[in-house]
Amino acid sequence: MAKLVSMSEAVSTIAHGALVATGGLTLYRRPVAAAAALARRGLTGLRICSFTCSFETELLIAAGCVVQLRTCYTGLDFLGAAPLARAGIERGAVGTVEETEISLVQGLRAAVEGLSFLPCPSSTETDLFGSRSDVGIVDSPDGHGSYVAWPAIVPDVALIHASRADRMGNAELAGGVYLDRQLAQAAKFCLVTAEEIVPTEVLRGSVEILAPFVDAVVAAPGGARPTSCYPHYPVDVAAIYRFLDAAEQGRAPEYLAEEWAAAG
Amino acid sequence: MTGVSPAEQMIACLSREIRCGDILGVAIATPLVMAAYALARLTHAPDVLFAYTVGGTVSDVPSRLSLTWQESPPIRTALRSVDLDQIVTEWMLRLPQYKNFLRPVQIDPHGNVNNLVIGDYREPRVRLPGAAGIPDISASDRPLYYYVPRHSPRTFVPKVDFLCGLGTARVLPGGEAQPYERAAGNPVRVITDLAVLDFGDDGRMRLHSTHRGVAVERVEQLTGFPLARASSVPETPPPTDAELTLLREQVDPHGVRDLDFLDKAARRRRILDIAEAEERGR
Repeated sequence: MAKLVSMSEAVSTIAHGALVATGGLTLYRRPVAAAAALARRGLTGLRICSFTCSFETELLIAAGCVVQLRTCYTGLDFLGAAPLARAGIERGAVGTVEETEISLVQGLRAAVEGLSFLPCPSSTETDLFGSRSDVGIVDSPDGHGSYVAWPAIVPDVALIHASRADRMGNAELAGGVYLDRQLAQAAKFCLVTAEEIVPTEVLRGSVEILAPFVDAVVAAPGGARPTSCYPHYPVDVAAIYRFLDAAEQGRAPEYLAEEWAAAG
Repeated sequence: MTGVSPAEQMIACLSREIRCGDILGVAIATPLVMAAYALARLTHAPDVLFAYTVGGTVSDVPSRLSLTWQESPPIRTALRSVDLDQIVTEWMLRLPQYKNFLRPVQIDPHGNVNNLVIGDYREPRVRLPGAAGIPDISASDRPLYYYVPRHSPRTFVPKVDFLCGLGTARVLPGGEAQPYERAAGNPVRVITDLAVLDFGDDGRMRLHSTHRGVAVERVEQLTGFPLARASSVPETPPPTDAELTLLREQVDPHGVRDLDFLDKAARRRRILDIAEAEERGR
């Protein structure tokens, strides 16, 4: 089956309640167009998993899609707190699974390798650890101590925005890779959006994510805006502030509707 | 040179913790730390590497402070790219030369920190951005360097609301200390806009030095617990004229370093001004 599809086709099989992993980092190369497509489908009960829940998560919360965040950082980088995530958690409308940098990485690596957990010498004495009922302890078989067993994280969907991709799904990230390789390989379904679809030979030496790990490819120029996509465009600070102003005034859903109307 | 700002004094203090041979972790939204790294690289520590989270590379070139195109210098000067999982699991805890500086929202007398919630976890008064790698690093014997741009009793608390990062010992509800069963954290420095703090043999925070023009009593008033100190507290060495010139002209000509000291409205104005200046400068 051809992987190069339209955005609406690409998101058509994603279900309510899915665990959605988002690629990129804070305000950099985030899958904003793909997140907007999930929101337009009216998906609910989504759980978001990311190293950093930022603008793409705010957009999904604004659209009423999100019930849970699974991350170690929720915020908008130098623009400060993520107001909708913060309010949602404080109100109890959005739940959380408390991760650390290592617990997220080990969880994703476990999934990539098909394991149910990966061990790490983490502390069991923090309140963060205490908030997790799904984490166990394993003894080292050589009798030398014990480790925390971080459970595998298997996203139902990974959303990744790329600089360029070919029609098979080979993707060039052109800069920070962050955890995107792991997300693509850990997830059951990986959607790559790209600024540009190019012939494979153009990508020699620059592919970060290989086609077998990608299930759908969508041409989405500007698909990370207002976050950045190096080398195509920088962070659009003024546009993010416009969104934040709308959110602060409780107009985030209307703002999204206007943006979609403008985008056709 | 006159008019040393709190940001400049803090940057000088942070810079003096950098040694030749370090690989310096550049985290998200930490202009004071990046400025300190760059300053150290341009003065006493020429042989360092930068592990850039934004941009995902390791480079030997310090980035000028920037907001809108942060990925660009690390990518253009990359020695190699690096996935986050490698930094986190292979370098952060295991490479002695790997160093970074962390910003606690709350820190107690034993250096325990909280970056997740103010108030009760189940019904938080304020949900904070999160602890990122602090729980991981503090569970190892790696030295922990903290910085606090606004020294206040809201940050320096007798007991943290939620334990994210381990200090030297657990603080019980009554305030007494109890050793951790497994590893304890290893906090070594807390650098603020008023003072430099360290930790004594008893694992409690001490006043190490106060910045020029800051009275010891003021630091004590703005710390939510008693600080141990010598009978005479030395002055923190201020930045040199050469350091200030480098900082203002080379490292941070746009003044990104002041963002952590501004209130919300002033911060927004400054961010938009810098973004515009960066767009014009391209």
